[in-house]
Amino acid sequence: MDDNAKWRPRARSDLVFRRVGDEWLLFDPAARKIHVLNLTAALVWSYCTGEYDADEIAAAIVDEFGTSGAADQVAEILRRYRHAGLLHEG
Amino acid sequence: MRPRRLAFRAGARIVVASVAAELAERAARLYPDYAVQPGSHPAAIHLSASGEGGFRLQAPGRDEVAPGAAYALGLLELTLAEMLLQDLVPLLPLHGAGIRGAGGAVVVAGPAEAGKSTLTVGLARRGYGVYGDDIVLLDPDICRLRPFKRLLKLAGPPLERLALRPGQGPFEDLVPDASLFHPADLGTRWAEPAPVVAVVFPVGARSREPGLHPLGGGEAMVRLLGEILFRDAAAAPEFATLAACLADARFYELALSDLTAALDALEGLLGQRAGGSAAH
Repeated sequence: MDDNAKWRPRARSDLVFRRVGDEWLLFDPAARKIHVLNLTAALVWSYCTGEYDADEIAAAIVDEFGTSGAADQVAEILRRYRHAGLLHEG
Repeated sequence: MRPRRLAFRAGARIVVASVAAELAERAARLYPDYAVQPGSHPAAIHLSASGEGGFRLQAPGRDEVAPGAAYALGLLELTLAEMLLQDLVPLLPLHGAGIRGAGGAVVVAGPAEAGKSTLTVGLARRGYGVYGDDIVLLDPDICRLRPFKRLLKLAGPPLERLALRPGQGPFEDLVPDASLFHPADLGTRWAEPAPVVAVVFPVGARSREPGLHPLGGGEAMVRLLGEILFRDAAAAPEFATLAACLADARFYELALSDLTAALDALEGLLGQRAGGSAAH
């Protein structure tokens, strides 16, 4: 298992996560930016508490949606969150 | 000639303006719903005659000379609005109009000249209660829209489109092509607090077919954050308040190419007329 697999993503505490209408929104006050999340991304975000690694999050997604290929999907979503600076590093 | 003292209260504090006598009568009518007796409170705003036909307005953070009465009265109206709004914390002021229907409140948001006042006055004339045509207040504690009881203002072509007479209200002959209306002048009243059920953004005729066009919550929030007044719109609490209070709202763009059709579309959103406080 590599370091990335053990990584347990944790959301930055200053971000605000809310549903508005039919969309899930993540507001980054530091960047003055609103990210619009689809349902899967929103569910992944709700697991970014620092308690779950990517495999555990993917398993939760499979439980929720019963879809295959969740691991790749979760990895891509987490990569995007990380790239956008929405997660705690380290 | 002694200036006249006028006092207004929208929250806990009383704002007193010492107004040049020749403008006092008109100034007293700017915010009739907030007018109170000044008592012994010191004046925070001073508007005095200055030079030939000019006026000087002094207030915290503001010291301006107005070349004429119309400009001076407009400056006083703006200064009073700012001070009254500062006193209404924790209410969140939004640059937008608001109308009350059976299911709740509909906010019409957008920049100056977007058509907010035209739509508000048009619906007021159809009997709907109103929250304001330029500034409305969101109460974060109960997630209800509240009125900011500032006279509704229309000028130029929109008056003709709604078959209204120019020159009504405190500005009268000073700004002949503009009119200010209390809701009672239009046969309606200030609306009671209600949850926001929809937010509508008027758009130009060329960009959209007539009628309402659904908009995503994310796009709507981006636009609405830009309409928060006197607060840091990029602050997390402001976003959280807006998002919490609009979680179940619907969002639309509304083409204004045909005013009657636009009013009909909004009326469809509003449902039956509802909820006003006693008219003044």
